[in-house]
Amino acid sequence: MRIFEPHAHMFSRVTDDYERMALSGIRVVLEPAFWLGQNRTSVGTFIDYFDTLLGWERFRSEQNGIWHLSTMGLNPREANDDRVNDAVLEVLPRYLEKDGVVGVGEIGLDDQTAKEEKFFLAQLELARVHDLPVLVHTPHRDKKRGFERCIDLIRDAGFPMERVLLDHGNEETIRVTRDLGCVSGFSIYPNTKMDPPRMVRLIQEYGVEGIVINGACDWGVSDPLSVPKTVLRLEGAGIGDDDIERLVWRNPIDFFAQSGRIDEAALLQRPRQDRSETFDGNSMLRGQDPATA
Amino acid sequence: MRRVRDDPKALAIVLPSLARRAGRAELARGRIRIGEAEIERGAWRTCDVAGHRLIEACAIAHADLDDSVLHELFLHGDFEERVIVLRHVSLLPIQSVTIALLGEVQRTNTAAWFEALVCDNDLLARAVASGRLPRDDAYKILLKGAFVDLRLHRFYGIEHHASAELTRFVTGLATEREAAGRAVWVDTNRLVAHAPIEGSVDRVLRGLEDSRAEYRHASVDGLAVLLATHGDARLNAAARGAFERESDPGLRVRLSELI
Repeated sequence: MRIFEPHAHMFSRVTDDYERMALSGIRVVLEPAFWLGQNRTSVGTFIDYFDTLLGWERFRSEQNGIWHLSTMGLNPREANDDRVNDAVLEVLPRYLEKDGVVGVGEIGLDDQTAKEEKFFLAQLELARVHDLPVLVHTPHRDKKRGFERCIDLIRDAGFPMERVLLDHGNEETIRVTRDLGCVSGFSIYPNTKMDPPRMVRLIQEYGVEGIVINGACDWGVSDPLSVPKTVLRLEGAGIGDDDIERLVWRNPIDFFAQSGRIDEAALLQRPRQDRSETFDGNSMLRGQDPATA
Repeated sequence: MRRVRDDPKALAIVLPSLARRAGRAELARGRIRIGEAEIERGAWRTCDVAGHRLIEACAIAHADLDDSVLHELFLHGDFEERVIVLRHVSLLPIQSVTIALLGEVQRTNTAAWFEALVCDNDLLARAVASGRLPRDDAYKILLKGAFVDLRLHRFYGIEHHASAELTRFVTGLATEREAAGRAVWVDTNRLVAHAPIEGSVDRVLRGLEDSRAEYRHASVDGLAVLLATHGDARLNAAARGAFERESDPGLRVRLSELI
């Protein structure tokens, strides 16, 4: 089964994860720009982070046989931080035009503050200007109300729902989002958010239309193999291959292809895993022979 | 075009999409002159041309456009943006951003960036001639090119700035490679003849007997330079001897012209 993992913070993961993901059928990862576990204090660290996602991280991923795409944005947590919020908004336009950037994200609400709303709306406008879909982070606390608030803001901004992926959903939010015309994302975690058995029940009830699943793995207790593990559960539950493929390949591709920057034919080929290649002179090797590494 | 004319900051937003939008098709080959610069048109792609036009339009509209804008575009550009910026700079008169970016490509290991600025054009020679790039810095750049086997003819006119110091650099690389049993830069003998030091003439003459035709070609070119500048009986005899031994038709013609 080919898998497009539409939300993985690989910046926080080790190289072994890439290898395990590739072996588990993951062909593409989409890495949304996000919070790094602690707030940054200047825009320069955002710039370096964005450059890393498009540079070394993409190289590292492709060296392990996985295509790497990104979304760029100011995450809602740091939207509250006046040391960086305005300045990040200023630099985002150049990053939203880079090759391999297929959306604006993760943006949205976290603590549901007025500042978060201000920068969420500003980034919806950026998405409109740069003709990109948006990946929306929804709050982990007071989730249902946060979902509804995100939806209200998107509607009020007149942003097209079909270009919205509302992420981190659960059994409650699917009832809110299923008829909106947006894509509903589910982050499958080892213990929280959503787990594979619950996801199977949800698919059995709602089908795969307009749904994507992801591992949202980062530096916390999370699992880069959540999606392939859920695929196994879905197969075991008798969900058909066509539906599973739609869920883990076709749906994310169709959504992010709205950027006009995805070439599916290219994604069907594995990246060239030439270990002798370098990124700005740096290789994955640590003195190893490229032929055997 | 209108966006960058209105606002120079728009360059940073427009450049990232250029390769995607303008395409990467190579232009037809042909050596041409643009302003002060001489370039190989075939080294340029459609997106490089589009980038050059955009930056040029922006610079015309904003006479106060600072050199640092180009350097910043390079520093925060992705792979393609950097190539585009470097190609543009290769056309400009030598200025502070030229020197700054020569430093950048000297430090990079990405061949495409190095080549975009200093290969298939006369930028390095112009930079030396301007007096703004110290000769030793230019030699280090050329040595880096030799180290990765880029051919001398891609650095237009640099041989006219050869010196004993450059010959020491290039000879040092050659002897180190020879000691390691590795292939020597094929243009070594072609270059050292322009500013021979002790041992250079012997090196060129030995090269006339090399089993590899491309090394003999370089040595014959080196011999031609030596004959023109240091002609003596030993060199004339070497040319005659090489002609008698040589089986390569092209080389025989070349050698017959030297005798």
